[in-house]
Amino acid sequence: MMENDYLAGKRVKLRPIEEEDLSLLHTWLNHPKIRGTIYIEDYPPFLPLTPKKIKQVFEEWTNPQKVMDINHFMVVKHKEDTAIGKVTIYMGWDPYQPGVEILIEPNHQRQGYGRETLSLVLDYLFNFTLAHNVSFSVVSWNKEAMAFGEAMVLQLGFQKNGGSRRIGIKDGQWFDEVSYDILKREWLSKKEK
Amino acid sequence: MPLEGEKVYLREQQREDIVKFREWRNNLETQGWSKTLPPDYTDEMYFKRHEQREFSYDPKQGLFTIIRKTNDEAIGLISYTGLEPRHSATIGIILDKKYWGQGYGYDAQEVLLKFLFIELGLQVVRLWTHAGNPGAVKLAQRSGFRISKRIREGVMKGGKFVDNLNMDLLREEYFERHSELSNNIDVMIKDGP
Repeated sequence: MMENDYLAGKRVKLRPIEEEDLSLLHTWLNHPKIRGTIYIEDYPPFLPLTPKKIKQVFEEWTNPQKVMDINHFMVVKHKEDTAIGKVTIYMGWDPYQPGVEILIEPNHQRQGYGRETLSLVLDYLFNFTLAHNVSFSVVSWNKEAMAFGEAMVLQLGFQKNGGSRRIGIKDGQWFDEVSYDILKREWLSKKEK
Repeated sequence: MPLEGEKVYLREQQREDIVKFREWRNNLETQGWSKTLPPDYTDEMYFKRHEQREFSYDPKQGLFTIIRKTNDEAIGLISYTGLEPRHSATIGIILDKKYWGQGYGYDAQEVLLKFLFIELGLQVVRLWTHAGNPGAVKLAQRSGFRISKRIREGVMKGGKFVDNLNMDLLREEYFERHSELSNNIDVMIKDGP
């Protein structure tokens, strides 16, 4: 079905971001349920992104010179060939501990697409890179993301590992980061079962 | 001397300090960072970096040399980086090994924290260290820092995987330990759920 089958699961596959994805990403990034959950450099997290900023973000995300450090993929449903989300891998300076960021657009949330996407990323990182620990983090005000984090503990074997406190303000309150990680041996033993 | 403690004071980094910076940076024990740097830095590299610093009214970092009061000797360096004005910054410290365990690091850290909370009005101060450096964890805990995030086995140090640790100290936690100082910033922002 897919030539690059290590980035393809039962229902979704990951592919690089293309020119046609710009307008879709524009819609998602300014969606009230997504705004402030995706890391955008040098921009107030809770203000809508201007068309110019969105273009700039898009250019950064598709910049081929950065792929050794950061990889951006669209999450696409096989069946309809429609994009339903985006996933980012941050390799950072140490390939032992990459980080992942997942965006699933609101209409496709809570249907298992995030879990399938994360599994694909773990398979890639643990089998094709030197990753030893893979982590992701959510913001404490984001109920959907918090529920996703807890589900990944039960379903994929992640562990909650704390999070930086007071990383931002929303609705008049400080919020924290909540972080989860999984070790390679934990993922491999989970896969064997 | 505004940045003065009991045993040390902090002053700007000067050209004359550079030979010592190079020594500490090239010592695997004192460089102490989770990313091990090759111990091959030269004085020329440091001079060049020093000369490239430019005057700014909007600096995102502060770099200081720790001076021992009794003999005006440079015994370490301490810095904050990644300043988000009125919100947060990340600190880092290097101390000459012959002054470890005598309260110099703690004193320097307290002087910097006072500057960050009193003069810059920060809400939270952060730092990164790892479990292979118990001295650094203890030093941070002495000033009230707590481990907020633990990326398990995230880095390799001395041939072993050790946990990568993120520690932080909230504004009111700092003032709880310093009853002689008053926290005059009440921005009416509470911690969220």
